[in-house]
Amino acid sequence: MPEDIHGQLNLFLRERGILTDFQVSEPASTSGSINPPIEIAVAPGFTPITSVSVTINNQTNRIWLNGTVGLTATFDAAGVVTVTLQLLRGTTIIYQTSKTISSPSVLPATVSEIVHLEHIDVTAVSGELPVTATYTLRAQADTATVTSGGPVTLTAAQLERNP
Amino acid sequence: MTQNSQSRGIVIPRQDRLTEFQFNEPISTPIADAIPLTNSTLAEATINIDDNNDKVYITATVGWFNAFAAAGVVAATFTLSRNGIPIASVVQTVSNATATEVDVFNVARIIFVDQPLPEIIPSQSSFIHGNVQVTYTLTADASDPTAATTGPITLTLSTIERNLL
Repeated sequence: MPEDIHGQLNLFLRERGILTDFQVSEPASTSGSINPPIEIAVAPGFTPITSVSVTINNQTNRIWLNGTVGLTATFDAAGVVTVTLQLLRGTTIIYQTSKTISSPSVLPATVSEIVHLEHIDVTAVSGELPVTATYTLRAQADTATVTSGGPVTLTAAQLERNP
Repeated sequence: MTQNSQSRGIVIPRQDRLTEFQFNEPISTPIADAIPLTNSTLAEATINIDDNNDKVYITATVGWFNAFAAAGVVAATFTLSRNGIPIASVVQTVSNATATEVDVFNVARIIFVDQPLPEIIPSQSSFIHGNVQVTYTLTADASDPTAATTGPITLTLSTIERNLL
């Protein structure tokens, strides 16, 4: 069989590790479009930002989560505030990251930043299938000066296993 | 094109799809012992390429910080390499404007599409006959030894199948 035929047949082989389901929650796609903005709670509290659900039909599937959040902090003088962001499956914390917002100005200032979260959930389900898993993105600040006025995006992509 | 048709083994052409998903996520929630970023390998994953018209969609996300003892700026460079050869990088800084001791956190994010992998797929024909394993590595370096990570660290690889149209 000619090599080119081999190659063309290869195009029709079943693929693996494919993206089979995609869910998204995007309550705000532009900065400032959440009005009034979401006030980020101070520790030990957390503020839910958004959530997304995905129905899982195989225990070997992986859920690829991506989140993007715009944050704004107000300062009276030079300083920093740190925001902790988490992803939860149900009530279980599965991912955590931190972002510091800094102001170099001695004058009052408003500073905006963007933060990204990315996690692959490999233990999404147990028991009888299919199972719907709900993922929540939440945030906490170390001072009461942080808000989110958007953008806010959370996606959940389901990927089949690589046999 | 549905998942059901896939599971029933129906033969369908593949184009512009994400396939072959691979990842390495060594840390997803903060660990106790910080890893210095100086000349550090953070994550590595290997993907199967079966067509030299495929692209590889790469994402990397790293939480990092610097422990400032005084005002200052620290930079970190995050680099993606294919089989040891750098192919993409970003530089990010953290800063402290005051004399106060403080940890300043940042999140580095790289999205890169790799093509056409010429040094590992030398074939001149339209198709690859067989599969090639390609390893991508995420490394970091910093301008100050106090820059470090306690996570999270995420690296993903996906093949973008070529467009047949």
